[in-house]
Amino acid sequence: MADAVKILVVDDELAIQRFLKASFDPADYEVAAAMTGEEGIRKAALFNPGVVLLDLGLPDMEGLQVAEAIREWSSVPIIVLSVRGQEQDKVAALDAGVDDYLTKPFGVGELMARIRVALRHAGKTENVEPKFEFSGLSVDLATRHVMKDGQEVHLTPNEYGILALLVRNAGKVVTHRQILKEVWGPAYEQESHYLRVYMGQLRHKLEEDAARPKLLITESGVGYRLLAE
Amino acid sequence: MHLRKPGGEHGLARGVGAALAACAIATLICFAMYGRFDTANLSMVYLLAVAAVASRFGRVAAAIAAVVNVLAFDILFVPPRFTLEVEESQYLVTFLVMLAVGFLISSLGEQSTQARQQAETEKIRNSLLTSISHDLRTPLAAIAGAASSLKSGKGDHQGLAETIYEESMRLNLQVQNLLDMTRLQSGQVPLRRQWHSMEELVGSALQRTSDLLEDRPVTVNMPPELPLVECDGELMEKVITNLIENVAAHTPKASDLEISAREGKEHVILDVADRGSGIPKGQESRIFERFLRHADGEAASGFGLGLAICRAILKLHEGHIWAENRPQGAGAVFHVELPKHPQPVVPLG
Repeated sequence: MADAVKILVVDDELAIQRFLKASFDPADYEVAAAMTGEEGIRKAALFNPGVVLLDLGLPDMEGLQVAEAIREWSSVPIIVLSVRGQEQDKVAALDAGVDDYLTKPFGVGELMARIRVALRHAGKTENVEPKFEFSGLSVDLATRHVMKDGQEVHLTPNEYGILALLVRNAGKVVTHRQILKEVWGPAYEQESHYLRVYMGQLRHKLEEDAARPKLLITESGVGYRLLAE
Repeated sequence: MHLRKPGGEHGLARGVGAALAACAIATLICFAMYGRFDTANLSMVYLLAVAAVASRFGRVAAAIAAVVNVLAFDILFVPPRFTLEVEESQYLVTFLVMLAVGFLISSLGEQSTQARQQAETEKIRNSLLTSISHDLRTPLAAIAGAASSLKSGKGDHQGLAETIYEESMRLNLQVQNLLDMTRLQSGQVPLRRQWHSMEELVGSALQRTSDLLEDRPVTVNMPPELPLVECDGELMEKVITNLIENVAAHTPKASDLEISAREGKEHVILDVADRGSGIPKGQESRIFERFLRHADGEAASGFGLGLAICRAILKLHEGHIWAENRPQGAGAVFHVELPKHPQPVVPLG
């Protein structure tokens, strides 16, 4: 059990707790539960989890407040669980430092994928992996070379800026605001139409079918995700 | 459900028109009667006109009718004729009574309209409850049944688990549709308008429905220079998703799904086409109504609300949605039209 990853589940729904606990192989994961935000914050400190699954619909406080509290002293990956229609809450949580989200109802496959990505990013030290490779796309952040199926692809500076940010966060969702801030600056955080155009351009250059992307995924109402597995 | 004021949207205009018309008719009748009948009876004719208008066109129209008729009566028939003066002050009482009667009848009229509308609402609510009850219970029954088999240890575990998963997703779809329809109906849907790429919205919708589409051949044709559309992305994605779900539910599993878009003079148009058995002739607009059950016996997925939701969303966007059978070969095509707007500036680089 020495290598077991510790998962803290902060959710007041017993059924969800049960399902989540049953989804993790006890050989690889140790699961602790918290039923309120306050208990969640406490256990995040005591249990020292590797990943926190945080429901946004807690009885005693906003999920966002729990995330902010934990972020004050820990960079533990936090994945929020919410329902469809709560896009603004998800975005607020992501902008506040939460790492990713899952929309209920979700399957165990999606859950494990998110956790893997979160752990991978948490496991890194300050240095980001310079090379990205998946599904025919390869990006070398050191040399700024982008290749699709072995052919070099030329990207404009903004296109590259967006792609590089997504690569640095490979597998994780990046919000519209985060992309706009990074590539254009804080004054441009509301200009979501820039992204519609640029993501379209990127998809046309990098995807086999821009209308059915396999790499550059739209997370409606939230942002974008570069798939890494 | 919100109740409509008597007369509907253009109630006031129609009400005023009715008030004037009623007055004119009453005046003609009175001219015919003048000389042979007491002024008192002439006032009754005008009172009848006020009552008639009040019963159908609401309080404001009733008030206008009262004033107009009183003036007509005063000027034309009350001595001295063709002046506003009244010889006997009791005619003031006549005028007040006309006004009062107008208000009384219009409020009675409103009550009866409200009662009728409430009865109608009740009817719809009952049929809605029955429909919901059935459509929620069906997947729940499948889930409960499969789960109880798993509990007892019997049966093909994988198959049962798949049933539970699929039926849960179906249930989620139903609930989501119901919530969406309720929100849209209540008129409390703030549109979050932003610039969106149709290609991106289609991509998201296809992502969302990928399980449903399975191995179905899907073709997407989006011209790269298609203008951005200004719309609520979540809602527009819902429209496309519902159209895709509609195709998945009503056409053979392996038949084509074709999604394309084009730029018109003042609109951007999205077409979702299938190779199913098409729409029964004459039903092209009926299919957008709520709670439709289908002739082939198969219950519509999502309470039969999917297309009604699409229509409501397009209405909110000042757009249109309509369906027709394809000109060449079998199947139907759904057209979604959104107004085109001057494009926002996007910096190059």
